[in-house]
Amino acid sequence: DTLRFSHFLPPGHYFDNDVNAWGAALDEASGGELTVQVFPAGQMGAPADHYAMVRDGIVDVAWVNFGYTPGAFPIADLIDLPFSLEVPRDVASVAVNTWYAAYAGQEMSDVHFCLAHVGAPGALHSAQPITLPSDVAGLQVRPASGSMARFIADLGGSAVQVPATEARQAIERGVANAITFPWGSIDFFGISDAVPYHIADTLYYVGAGIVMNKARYEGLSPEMRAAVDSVCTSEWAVGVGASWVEFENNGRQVLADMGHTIHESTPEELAAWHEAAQPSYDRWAATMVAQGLDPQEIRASLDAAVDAAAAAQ
Amino acid sequence: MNRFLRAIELAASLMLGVVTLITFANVVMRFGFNSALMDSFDLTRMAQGLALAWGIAVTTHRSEHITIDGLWTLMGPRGRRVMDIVARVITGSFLLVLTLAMAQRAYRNMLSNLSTAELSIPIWGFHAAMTLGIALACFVVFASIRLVRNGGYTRGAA
Amino acid sequence: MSLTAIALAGFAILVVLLLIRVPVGIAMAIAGIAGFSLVVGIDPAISMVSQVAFNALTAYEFSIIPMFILMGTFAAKSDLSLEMFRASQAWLGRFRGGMAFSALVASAGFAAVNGSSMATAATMTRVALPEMERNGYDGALSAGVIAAGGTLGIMIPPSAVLALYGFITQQNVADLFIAGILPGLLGLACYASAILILGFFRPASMPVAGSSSWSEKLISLSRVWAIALLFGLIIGGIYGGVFTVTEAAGIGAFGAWLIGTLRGRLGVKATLECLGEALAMSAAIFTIVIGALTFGYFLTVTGTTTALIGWLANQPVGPYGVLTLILLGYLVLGAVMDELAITLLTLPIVFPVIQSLGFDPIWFGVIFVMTVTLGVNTPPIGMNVFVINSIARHISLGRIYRAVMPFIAVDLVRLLLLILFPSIALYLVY
Ligand code: NA
Ligand code: NA
Repeated sequence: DTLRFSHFLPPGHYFDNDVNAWGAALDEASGGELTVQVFPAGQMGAPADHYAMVRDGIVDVAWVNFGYTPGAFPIADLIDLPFSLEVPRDVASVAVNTWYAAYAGQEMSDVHFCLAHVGAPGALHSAQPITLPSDVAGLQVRPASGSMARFIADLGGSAVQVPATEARQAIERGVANAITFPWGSIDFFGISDAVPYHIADTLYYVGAGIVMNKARYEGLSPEMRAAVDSVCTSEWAVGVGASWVEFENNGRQVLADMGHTIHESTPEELAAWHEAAQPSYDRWAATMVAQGLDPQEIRASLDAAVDAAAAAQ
Repeated sequence: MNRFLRAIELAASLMLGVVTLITFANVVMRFGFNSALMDSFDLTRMAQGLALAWGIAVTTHRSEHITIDGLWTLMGPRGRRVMDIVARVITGSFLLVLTLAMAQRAYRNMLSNLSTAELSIPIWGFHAAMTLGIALACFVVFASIRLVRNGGYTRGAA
Repeated sequence: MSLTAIALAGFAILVVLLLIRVPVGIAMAIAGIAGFSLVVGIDPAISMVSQVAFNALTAYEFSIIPMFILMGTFAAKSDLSLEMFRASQAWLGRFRGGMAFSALVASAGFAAVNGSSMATAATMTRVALPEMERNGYDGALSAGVIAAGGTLGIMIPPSAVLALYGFITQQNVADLFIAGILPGLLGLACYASAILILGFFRPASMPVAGSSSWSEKLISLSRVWAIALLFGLIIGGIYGGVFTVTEAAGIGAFGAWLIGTLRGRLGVKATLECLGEALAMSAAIFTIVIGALTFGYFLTVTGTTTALIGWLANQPVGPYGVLTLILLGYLVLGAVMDELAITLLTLPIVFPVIQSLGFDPIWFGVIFVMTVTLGVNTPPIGMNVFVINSIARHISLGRIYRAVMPFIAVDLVRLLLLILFPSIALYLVY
C-alpha cells in the first residue's frame, strides 16, 4: 500500500531527505507493507492548503505549517508567538509534540494527528544595529509569519508582506531593512550583505506537524496502525527536520566568519523584549477566552512540557 | 439579463482597478508615510480573486474563452449547432460541479475559521462571493443553450 | 488500469473535448478531474479543483498578470502602440516590407511597456493588421508577423513569465529582466531577416508603401516619449530598488492610465472599457491556468512528470546533452500547454536538476522562457495565434500557423545562439 506524502520544500532539500528517512522507517516498521511516496515542492498543492489536502484525501499524509492558515489552529498559534520557547530546537520540538497532542483532537479533529514540532530557531537580522524593541520603530521588516507581522506592528515597525520568494528582492533593494529568518537562510538566500547585524537570542519558532487522512488511518489494520504510530513519536518530531535545523544553526557561524555583528542581549534588554511581546500573548489569550478555553492553563501546560523535555535531555 | 451582466462587468472591472490602486497606494504609503496598509497583502489577493471570478462570468458571457476551432470551422451549420450545444452542456455541467465544489470549500473554510493574517478578517465571505461569480458563469452557459437551439447564437462555445 | 494508461486516457479525454470546442481551460480541468478521480477518488478530485480555483484566482504571484495586461490596454487606448507603429512607418515605409518591419518595431516598443505577449498580439492586430491589409499586404503574412512580434515582449522587459520564473526559482527578477533585453533585440533582428528573405521570394506579398518627409519623421519621433518614460519608470524602479516587480506592475498600469488621462484619451468611459477588456482577457487566461494546474496535478499524481524528468536527468549524455533533452521536452510541452502552467508545474522539479549541472540560473531563465513560449505560435494550442484569429476572423488559424513558421525557424536559430553564447543574455547582467 502506498501513502502519498506532500510537503512544499524542494526535492533534495535537507527536509526532503528527512521526510524520506521517515518514510523509510515506516516502510520498515510495516514490514514493507506501507510505502511512502513523497511529493516535494508543493507538487500536489499550495503550502497553505496542505492541511485541507489531507482532510479531503487529495494526499494521505502531509507536513503542515500551522501558521499558514491564520485562524484555523488558535491553540497552536501559541508556538509562533515571540519568545514562546527559549530552549534549543530539539527540546522545543519534544515539548511541542507532547503538549499539542492533548489539543490536536480539538483543533485538528478532521485528520489523524501524527506529530508536531518546530522549525529552526529564528532571529532578527537587520541592515542597522538593533538592540532594543524600540529600535524597530519605523523599520520595514519582512516577517516570517503572521505572528511576527503583528509583533513588528506592535513595535511600531511596518511588516513588508512579501512571499519568501520575493524576500531576497525586497531586502536587496532596500524595500525592507530587516527580516526575521533562521540563521542559515540568510546566506542561503543571498541576503547576507544586506543584513550585517543580528540578535543572537531566539526570537521565534514556527510550529508545524505531520497529519494523516483520518479515513485512511482508520482503514488500516491494527498492525499497520501500530506501524504508523511507531513513527509518530517525539523522537521523530525531532528527527524530521533535524538536518535542516543543523544547517540553519551552522549559518550563524558562517555569518560570524563574515565579520557580522551578532549581538547577545543583556538581561535588561531581554526583559524589554519580553515586555514588548506581551501584547502578542494578550491577543492570543483573548482569542482563547473567546472560544471558552483557559489561556493560563494552556500556557502552563506548554511550560511544563518544556521543563519535562529539558529534564529528559 | 444583459443589463444585469453589464452591472457585473462594471463591478468586476472596478475591482480590478481597486487591486491596481491598492498596489500603487502601498508603494506611496511606504515612501510617503513609512507605513504599510494593514492586511494589504491578503486583501489585495481577495480583491483580485473577486475581480477574476466575476470576470470569468463576463468572459463566458462575451464568449471570449479560448477555444480550438479547427473541427468546428469544417462543420456545416447543423454540425456546428450540435457541437455548440454539446460543448455548452459539458462546459455548463463542469461549471456546476465547480460551483458546488467551491461552495463546499467556502463552507469548510468558514467552519475552520480561516482568516487574514493581520486583521483576522474571515475569508470565507470572499470565497463565497467568488463562488457566486462561477455560479453566474454556469447560469450564462445554460441560458445560452436555448439561444443556440433557436439558431440565434453563432459564436463561441461558452 | 495502470497509472500510465490512466495518464494516456486523460490526454485522450482532453483531445476529444478540445475538438468539440469546449474552452481550453475547462477541457483541461475536466480531463484532470476525471483522471484524478481514477487515481485517487472522486471526492478528493472535486476538492482539488475547488482548491486550485481559489488558489489561482487569489495568488499573489499571479497579480502581475492582470496588472501588466491592464497597463497594455491603457497604453493601447492612449494610442501608444499606434504612435509607435506610425513612427516606425515614417522611417521604414520606403523599404520593401517596411510595414512588416514597422509592425515588428512597434511590437518591440509596445512590449517594453506591457508584460504579456497576448496583449501585444491583440493590440498590434487591431493597430497594424488593417493598415497592412489596406496597403496590399498579404493578410496571413501580416498576421504571422504580428504573431511573431508578440513574442518579443516575452524577452523585452517587463515580462510576466520571466517574473514568474524568478519567483519560483528565487532568482533576482531585475537581473532576469536585464538579461532579456539583448535576446529580445536579437529576436527583432532575426525576425527582420526573416522578412527580408520572405520579401525576396514573394515581393508581391509586401508592397512598398512610400516614403515620408523629414519633418514627418521627426514629428513621429517626438510622439513616442511616453513609451520611453513608462519603460524607464518600470525598469528603473525595479532596478533601483524603489519597488518590487509586483508593485511595478501596479505602478506601470497606473502610469499608463495617467499618461492616457493627461493626453485626454482616457475618460471615465474609456477607462472602464480598458478595465473591462483587461478583465475579460485576464479571466480567459486564469481559466486556462486553473485547467492547466488541475491537469498538472493529475499528471503529477500518476508520476508521469517526475518519471520523465528523472529519466532525463539520468541520461549518460553530459550536462549539455541533458539540457538539450530538457529543452526538447519543453518544446513539446510548450506546443500543447500554456507557458504559465508549464512554469508553475515543472520548474520546481527541473530547476534543481539544472543547478546541479552547474548552469547559470539567470541564463537558464532566458533559455527556458524562450523555449516554452515558442509554443504560443505553434499548433495545436498557440495562444497568440488564437488571439489574432479571434480578432481577425477572416484569416484562418491554419493560414496564420503556416505564415508564422519562418519565424519559428529563426527562433530556433536564436535559441541555438543563446545556448552557444550565454553572454548574449548575461553581458548586461554581470
Ligand atoms: Na514586455
Ligand atoms: Na503551441
